[in-house]
Amino acid sequence: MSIASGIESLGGSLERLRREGQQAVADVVQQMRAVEQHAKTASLDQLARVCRVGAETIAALAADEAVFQGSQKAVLEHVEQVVQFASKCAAASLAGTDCSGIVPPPLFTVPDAEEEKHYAETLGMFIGHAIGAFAELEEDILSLESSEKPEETISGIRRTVHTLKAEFGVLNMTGPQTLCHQTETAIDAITENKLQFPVELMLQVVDQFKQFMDRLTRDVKATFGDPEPMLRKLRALIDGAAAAAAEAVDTTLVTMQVQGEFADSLTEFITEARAHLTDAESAMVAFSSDPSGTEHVNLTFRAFHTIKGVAGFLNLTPLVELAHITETLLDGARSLRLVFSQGDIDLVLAAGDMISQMIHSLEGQPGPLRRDWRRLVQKLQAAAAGTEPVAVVTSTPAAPSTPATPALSTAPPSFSAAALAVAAPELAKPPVAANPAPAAATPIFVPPPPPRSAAPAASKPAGESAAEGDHKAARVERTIKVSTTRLDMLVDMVGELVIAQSMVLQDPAIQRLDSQSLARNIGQVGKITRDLQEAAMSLRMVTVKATFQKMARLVRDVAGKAGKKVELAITGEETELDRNVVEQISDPLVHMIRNAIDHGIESPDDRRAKGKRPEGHLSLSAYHQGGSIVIEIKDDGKGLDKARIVKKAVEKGLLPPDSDVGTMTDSEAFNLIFLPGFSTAEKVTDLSGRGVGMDVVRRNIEALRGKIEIESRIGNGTTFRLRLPLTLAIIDGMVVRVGKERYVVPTLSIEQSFRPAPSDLHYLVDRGECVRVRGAVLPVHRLKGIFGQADGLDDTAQGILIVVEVDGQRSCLFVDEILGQQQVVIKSLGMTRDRVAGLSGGAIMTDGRVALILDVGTLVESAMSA
Amino acid sequence: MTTATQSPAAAGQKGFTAGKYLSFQLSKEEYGIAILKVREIIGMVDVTPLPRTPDFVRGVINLRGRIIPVMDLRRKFGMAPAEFTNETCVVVVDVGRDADSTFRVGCIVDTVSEVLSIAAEHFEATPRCTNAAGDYIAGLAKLKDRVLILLDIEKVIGDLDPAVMAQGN
Repeated sequence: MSIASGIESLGGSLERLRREGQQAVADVVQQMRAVEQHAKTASLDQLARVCRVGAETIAALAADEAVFQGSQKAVLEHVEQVVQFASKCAAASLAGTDCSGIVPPPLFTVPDAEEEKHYAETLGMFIGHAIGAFAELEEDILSLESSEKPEETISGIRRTVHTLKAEFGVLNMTGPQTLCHQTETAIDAITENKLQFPVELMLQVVDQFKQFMDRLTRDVKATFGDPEPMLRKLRALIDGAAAAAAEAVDTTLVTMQVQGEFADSLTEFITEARAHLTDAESAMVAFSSDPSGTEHVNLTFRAFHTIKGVAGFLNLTPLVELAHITETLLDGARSLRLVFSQGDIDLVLAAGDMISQMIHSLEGQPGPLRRDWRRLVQKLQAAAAGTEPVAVVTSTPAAPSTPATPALSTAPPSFSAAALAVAAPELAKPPVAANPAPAAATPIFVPPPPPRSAAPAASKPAGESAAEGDHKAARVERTIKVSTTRLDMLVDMVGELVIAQSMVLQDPAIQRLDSQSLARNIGQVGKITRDLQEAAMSLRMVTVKATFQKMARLVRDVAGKAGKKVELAITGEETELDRNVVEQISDPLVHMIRNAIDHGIESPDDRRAKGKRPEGHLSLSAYHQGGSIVIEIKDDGKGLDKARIVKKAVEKGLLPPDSDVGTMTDSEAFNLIFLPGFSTAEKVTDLSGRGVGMDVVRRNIEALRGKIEIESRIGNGTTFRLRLPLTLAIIDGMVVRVGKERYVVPTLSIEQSFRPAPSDLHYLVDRGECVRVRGAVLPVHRLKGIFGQADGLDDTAQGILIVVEVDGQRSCLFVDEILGQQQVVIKSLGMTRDRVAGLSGGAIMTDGRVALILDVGTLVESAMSA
Repeated sequence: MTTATQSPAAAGQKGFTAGKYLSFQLSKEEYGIAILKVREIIGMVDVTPLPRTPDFVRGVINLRGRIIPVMDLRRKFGMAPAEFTNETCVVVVDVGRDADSTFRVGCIVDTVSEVLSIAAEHFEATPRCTNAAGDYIAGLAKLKDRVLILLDIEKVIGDLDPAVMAQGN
């Protein structure tokens, strides 16, 4: 007889018990015993236990008819539960699944009057406590949605559930106990895998408990209700969590911890590592265009090696591993065991990027994904060892070249170990290579083909070359890090000092004094002040090198994407610019370079057809000119097609339809490309063509008070020239006077100034005042009128006209007179955030009064619209 | 009882804190500003007019190397203009919610009188008769022989916000 038929018989006796009452008891007891035996053989221990206790109790109860009458309902209920439980267990056991999660019915024991009283007391106490606990749970769960520290709340919830589980256990309430247990497991699974806390589900669980508590307060014998649906949901959650756990490996970030004692070295490490990475990146880019330049590889190798060394000291294991495997790959290239492909260069660049990201993560930014990290490490390993995967490299920074050794035997076919071993003696200059036998165990260094100065470094063991790197670092100027706020403060204060100094100098009281020594001393103070100002300014100056190097990388990537060959020539990367300016030219440069490659430079085939070299040439240079810095981007591509630009602009509605190309100057036509929405690209690619880029360029450059000039000839290429101020804090200005007010006009915006001859002045009906300047008729804007000033000259012929250019359109500003040219420190007008239209700020003049600095762009714009 | 969201007037009353106030004269009335808002008091200096701003913005001045706007409280409150005298002062106040967004403004007043301690029992809410401009007034301080109008300087200066200024234009 199987367990199934046993349960069936038990079901039958249950029916009899219902109908016949006490007569059927013996049968029920017997059937339960039978099921118990089956359960034992099927090792369903819980079922066996329930049956045994149940059978014993029922038998005991049946002994006394009165007692049995009183507890008949309980007996029926229990047997019913046993039948249900038994069939569930049997089904689970047949299906081969674990049945420990199935809730057994409470053990059926002889109700003892004394015990019952005690139970009621305990229960009463428990209910009071539990109702509070569940209310608290509910509150906690709800608060999770807005909590800032969910971990703490969750662990609180878990503790509460755990306590409740124990209490249900004491009260022998198996249903609630199991549900608590499962809930606890689910919470564990959630926290372990950092999953979103299932607020909804947990509230449902709490609701079930709360309802149960509600019933319990009314009826001590209330049943819990079927916990199974809830249990199923929780199980699903736990299973889901387990699945997510497997996945979570992929979504976790690479995290690194630094012990407190190293915190100081960490900042230093971050700065140094960044510098090394920049060096490495530019070296790699250089190497990709000049594969014979082994010194580039050496430099990169040293950079990674140094990073690895310090990272090892700081215990940044993932970083060390990555740096190490990259180093191994580079070592292969150094010693010519590997033929370095573009793909390998990409890998090294990618490794640099990832290390940089990991360094970011040390500063609290999110690190790279662990799976990305692993993938990259695997790729690097594969590349370092040919295609055969090598054993996972351990992070022992002390032995950099040893793990590289296996790569020897799996080197690419052209450089197989045997070939090397044979070739080695012939090439042999280093003594190690002369002995072919231990070749597999000793790294062989073959001098690179062109015997350059860096060649000996290549044949040195890695440790030595790293030492050389350190030595090189020692030669570099010593620097300290200063916060930029402090620096800005210093520059501001020096600016004030300059003003104060000249105020003293021009004070009438001082000027009246007739003292040689005083004049000399004042002169001395003046000189020191100017030197100090220059020194302070130079503190904020940084070279454009880093920005240009970024562009080198960009050119490489963009050219690859666009399927074009582009050579980049960089000059003047030592040119210094204000830090703020350098930061802000990066974006415009990116756009312009993308455009130059995507639109300017033709595909290799087109170039050949035009009789040009297939490689496009792009040059990026920086130089001083006048008081400003010029950054030039020059390509030898197809050039800007004036007619096509005008046609496109008309099509896009940016120009009136009757615009004539013939009357437009080159610069007017070329300036159209800066209009928002302008693009001549036939199709939008992921590189460019959306018509946003050049608009952004112009905005950014103008925000820096710079100018863009375009020079282009069809077929010969285009040159963009960005003219930028040396610094943002100081501008060269022309001080002009209107009435009794002074204004500063940035010299950069001024083309010329002149006193107009009355015969050149015209008043055009509807258009306002105009002046003829060298054949062109320009509108005249009166500063007095724009600013609504009461005083100031009215007769144009008596004053001065200043020609300014805004968006390629020239116009004149009318002022009373020009007071002189002066460098002024730009200050905010202190009017909360916004600028006043037409003004870019204020300058404190030598007499201590404020003069307003004009923002010619918005000034003319507002004058036009007025 | 105050509720969480207060009407401006209620905020003004709530905003009253007993303590020291700087009193100054404007036309015939005497006003008070919480001394904690006042940074310094300087004599009248040359003001560079700032075009395209409401007329109560007299312009900007050089406050030891920093440019700050100055507003004419007489114009602000729609009073008859007065000549600047030796008594005319600029009360430099710092307003703003936090240190990052402090906004420093000079307020031109006829003359600065004294620093007074004003206790809670002197304070009285703004009478209902005031019009919209009453927003600027935190309340009144009844002293032995006179009444001080306590300004909510944050509200007064708040009008220098560009958005509000655009309307004033």
